[in-house]
Amino acid sequence: MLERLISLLRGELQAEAAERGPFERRLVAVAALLLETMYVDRVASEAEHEAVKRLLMAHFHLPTERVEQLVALAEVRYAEALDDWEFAEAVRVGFGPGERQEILTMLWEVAYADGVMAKLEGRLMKRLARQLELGEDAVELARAAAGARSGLLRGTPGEG
Amino acid sequence: MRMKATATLALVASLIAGMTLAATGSKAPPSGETPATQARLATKAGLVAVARAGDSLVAVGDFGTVVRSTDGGLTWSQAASVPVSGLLTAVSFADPKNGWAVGHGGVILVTRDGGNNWAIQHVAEGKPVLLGVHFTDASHGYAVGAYGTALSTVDGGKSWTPMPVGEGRDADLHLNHIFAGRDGALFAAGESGAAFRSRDGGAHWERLHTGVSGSLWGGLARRDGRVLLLGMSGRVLESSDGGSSWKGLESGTSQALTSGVERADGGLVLVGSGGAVVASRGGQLATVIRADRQNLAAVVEGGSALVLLGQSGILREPAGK
Amino acid sequence: MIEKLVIGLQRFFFGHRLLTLGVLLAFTALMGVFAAQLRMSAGFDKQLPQDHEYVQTFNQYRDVLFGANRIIVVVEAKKGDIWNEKALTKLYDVTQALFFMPGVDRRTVTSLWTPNTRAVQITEEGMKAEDVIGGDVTVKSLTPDNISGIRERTVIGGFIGSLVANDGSGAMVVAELADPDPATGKRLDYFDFSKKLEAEVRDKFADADTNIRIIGFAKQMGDISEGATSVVEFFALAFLLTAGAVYWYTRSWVLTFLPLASSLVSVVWQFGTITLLGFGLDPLAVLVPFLVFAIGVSHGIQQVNYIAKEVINGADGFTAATRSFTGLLVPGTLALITAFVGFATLVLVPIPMIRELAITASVGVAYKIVTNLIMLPVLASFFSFDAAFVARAGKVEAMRNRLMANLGVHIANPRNALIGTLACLVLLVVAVWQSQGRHVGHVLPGAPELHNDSRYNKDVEAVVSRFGLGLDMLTVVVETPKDGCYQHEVMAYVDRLTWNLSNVPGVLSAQSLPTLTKLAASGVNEGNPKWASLPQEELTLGEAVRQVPEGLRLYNAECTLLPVNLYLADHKASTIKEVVAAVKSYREANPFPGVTVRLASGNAGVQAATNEVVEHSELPMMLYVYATILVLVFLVYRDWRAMIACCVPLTLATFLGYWFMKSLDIGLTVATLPVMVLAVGIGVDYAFYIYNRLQMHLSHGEDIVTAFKQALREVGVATVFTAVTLSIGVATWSFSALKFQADMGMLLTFMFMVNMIMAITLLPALAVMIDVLVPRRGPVRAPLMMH
Repeated sequence: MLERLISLLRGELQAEAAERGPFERRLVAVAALLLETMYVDRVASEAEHEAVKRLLMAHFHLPTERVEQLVALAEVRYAEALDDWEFAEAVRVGFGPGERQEILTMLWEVAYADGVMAKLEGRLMKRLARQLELGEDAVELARAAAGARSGLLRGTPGEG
Repeated sequence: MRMKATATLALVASLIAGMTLAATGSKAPPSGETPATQARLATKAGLVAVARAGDSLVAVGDFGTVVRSTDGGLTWSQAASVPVSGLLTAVSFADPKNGWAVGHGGVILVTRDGGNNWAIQHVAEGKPVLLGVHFTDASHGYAVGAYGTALSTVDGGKSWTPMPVGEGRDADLHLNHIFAGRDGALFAAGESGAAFRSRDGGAHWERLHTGVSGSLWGGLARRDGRVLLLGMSGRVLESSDGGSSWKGLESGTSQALTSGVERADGGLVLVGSGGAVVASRGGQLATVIRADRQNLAAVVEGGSALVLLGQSGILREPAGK
Repeated sequence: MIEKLVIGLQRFFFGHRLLTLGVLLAFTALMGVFAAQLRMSAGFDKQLPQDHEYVQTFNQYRDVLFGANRIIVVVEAKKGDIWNEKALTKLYDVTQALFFMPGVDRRTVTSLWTPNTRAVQITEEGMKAEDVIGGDVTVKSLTPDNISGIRERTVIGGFIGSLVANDGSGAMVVAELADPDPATGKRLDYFDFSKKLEAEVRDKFADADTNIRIIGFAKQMGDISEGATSVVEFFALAFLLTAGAVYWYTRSWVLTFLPLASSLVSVVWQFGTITLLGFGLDPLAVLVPFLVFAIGVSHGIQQVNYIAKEVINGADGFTAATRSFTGLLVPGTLALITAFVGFATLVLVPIPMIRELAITASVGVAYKIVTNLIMLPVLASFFSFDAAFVARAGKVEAMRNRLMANLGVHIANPRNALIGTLACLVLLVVAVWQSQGRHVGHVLPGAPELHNDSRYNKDVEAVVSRFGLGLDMLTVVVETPKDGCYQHEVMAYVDRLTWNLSNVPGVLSAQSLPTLTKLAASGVNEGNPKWASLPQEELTLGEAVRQVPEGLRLYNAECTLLPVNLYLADHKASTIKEVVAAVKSYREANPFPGVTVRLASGNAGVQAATNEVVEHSELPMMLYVYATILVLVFLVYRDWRAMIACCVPLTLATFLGYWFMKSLDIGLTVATLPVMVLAVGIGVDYAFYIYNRLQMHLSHGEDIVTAFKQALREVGVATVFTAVTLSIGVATWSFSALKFQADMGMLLTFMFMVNMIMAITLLPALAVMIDVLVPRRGPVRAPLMMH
């Protein structure tokens, strides 16, 4: 105990995360942010729901059942949270810059999923990009990429 | 076995007896036998008499208070043990060590150490109120009190015998004060203007013709042989012939006078009720009434100051007054 | 299960919004009717611990002995003395005015002019009792001659220092009040009485040459009541300041209106209930509704904070309101319950006024559960928030979040946490040490509730400095067998008791029947001082006793009562304690069969009782509140770490509060005892708000530092702001005309701010420290209120 106290004084000890639960926090965080993007325009359509699951499965290579569990947990966490800061933080800490850019693109893909773009979504993206420590042009980059992919998927040219 | 049983029985019996005694003993004893307590304000108790014990002053009063001063009345300390808590009315010392005090409940107290520790030497029969005491030496002493009570002792107070002072109708008169004149004669001042003199150490007494009917409370003998009697209505009587004849002095007050003292410089100070202080100025007596109107009971000189005693305790008036 | 209940309630209330509001509105109207009838009610008996030995003695003999409810009026000559026609005439007029004033017990009116004032003289003819001002002298027949006669008799009677000032500059009229009125049974309205005194005595008789001084319990209470009425202005000021602060915080008029309105509504309900229960508002407790209002606003802040955050994140008014309802129902109820418990434990103090206060405050807090946790969100659900608000609020929110995040990092850094904890532990030791020797009761003469330069206290100073009598009297009641006053032994016992008590430092003088009987005995014997002793024979003793005037109340008709009146130098608790201890030790060391020595009557006597009760109540009260908090914390978090993290900061804050009290010379009295207890019950709220979020994030698997950062971001500003609103509510009292209100205002402000600072610094520091030093072994359970 005394040794711990001393090392604490020296600033050597750090708080340890109590990583519990079936999923890594950063995974849950990504799922939560995806859900948030889905909910931001007040309409949670089937298309958006599917998009969320599909994106998670694809990016993290998870089987369907696991993805369902992940989304369910993310729903609960999201409801408990007062804002998205903790999730953005978890993403920022848990992923490298390249992956973060990719995640931002995934968020845009959800936004495009129902075919309607709202100003709210744009605002959300800008804010999240800042929190994820991505550059100014990151938002546009991600949007373009997402637009391309959505266009590819649906076969209609997305907004440029 | 039977011995043991008897012994145990005896033990138990004595225990019970002892406890019963203790129980009855714990009943509050009659007043006069409850010892005085050490009081922070002892010098503020009602004090009524004072005497010299060598260089010290000893004053007595209510609640069995006895206080002593060795510095002429500047500071006082209370006696260590006084076995009564009633009013002590008079005190007299034969020498610096041996002194006697009397008071209500017929108590006569004695001290052998100059007034620090006192014991009950005698309780007068019938517990009369004793009002005066005087010891001419360590063996011969006199005590007087209410309803003509008078006692004398020749063995330093171990035993007391009744002393006839007044005769006939005079026998029941309160005797308020007893003192000695220069020539060894004893004087007793009493109520209703009665005064008595004894020239044979208390064996025989004669009534003096004072010519007054108001009670006489106190008296003193002056160094030049003159005797004074003090009393109600501001009465001051002076005798230049050893007490055979008396003339009244103009005191300047109609307050009752209780006690007096002749100062080292020959001046006279008499005190009384209502704050009356009578002092002699150039042969005449003049009265000053104290602003606080305190009833004063005794006065003594302390160094060059005057020490007054009254219902609020000790008052010391520095020289010049 | 609780979860289901919460959701069920949400569905019910939000499903029937108009019905809910309608019912609440109707109730408010009903209560409003009763609230309008609320009156101030001061009471002498209310402040006394009725079960205390001394108060029982006091009550038993209140008709026979000098009461503690006296009124003293002094006619003071600005220049010179009162021995002239003008002043004596004024004295007569004042005596008459007091005599005829309703509420005054006529038998007790005493001044130079009253027939019960007699100069007792010992003369050759015996005891002579002469009226100081005889029946033959009237106001019109005053001449220099008979004035000097009056003066003479005053001196002889020993009234210099009691009915007449030591330097003759003033004369006194004393009277006792009859409360309740023996004829009608109605209680005395002190406020009314005090106003009458001002109008009919002071205003009428004071002039260029004369001051009129009025002191006594009734006047004191009247002045306090009057000072307390200015409370309405303070309330208005506090309300405005609070409104301004809430707007600054929320940037929305709607969100400002909601908490203020709901708190006001609960205040209306509270006042209505008080009236229904038959209580009035005691001037010493008038601050409690303020406090409860402030609590309401602070809870309201939590609600609107939640709603605002939801709105910023895109929810509409309705959704935000429902989420706020479900999110805060349980934690909010919990926080209110702790405040409720804090107030309710005060019921255990056996002083009626504090019990009343406890009940009214508890009721107020309980009502808040309805107004703040149900009414507010339901009402909020009707409003919508425009994009402008969202933008405005969003910006402010972001800025605050950044601030809090930075703060959180520094606070929760494990190394800082250790240093902070150690520093606080040192501070705790210092605070405990410094807070020793807090005094109980009142130290200053006069009324401590009023400022030193208040009219009342200036009057007290004038009277105390010129008159010799103590205004503080403690009466030792000696019960004797029948005809005890004719028995020498009994009288001698009381005499010795009186002498013993006269010698206690702090006792200016003592008076009892034996004291005066001895004087009478001397009087019977021509006034000879050598006869000033209790006669041994019953008949003679009886004769002496009968000389003592009965009006002095030193014995009763059957002679079963021999009171010993002790006049004290002051009413400091230390002085009174010493006297009480002296009485107790005397009676234990000197028992007398058939005689009982009882404490205590007189105003100092009942003060002794109050001091004792207050002093002995404080610790148990605090312990009860603490125990309840510990239990609640455990039930909610089921974690011993939570208990430490929540309760240690509370302890530190409490001792800092005690230190503060000592520094400001705020004594522990009937008025201040509730304050510290309330402060604890309210202070723990902050801990709950913060720890809630902390625990929740921990249960998500975050490390403690991040969890705290989150928690701080979520509720940090709201918590700080809650403390600010509470402090605003009470800080305005510092300007009160009533010193005790000012003191309490400062003390509460201090406690609120300190508790808040503790909650955002020491609490996380402890949590971090404990987590790092004793790592968790199992999963963290989510707090009880989360769904």
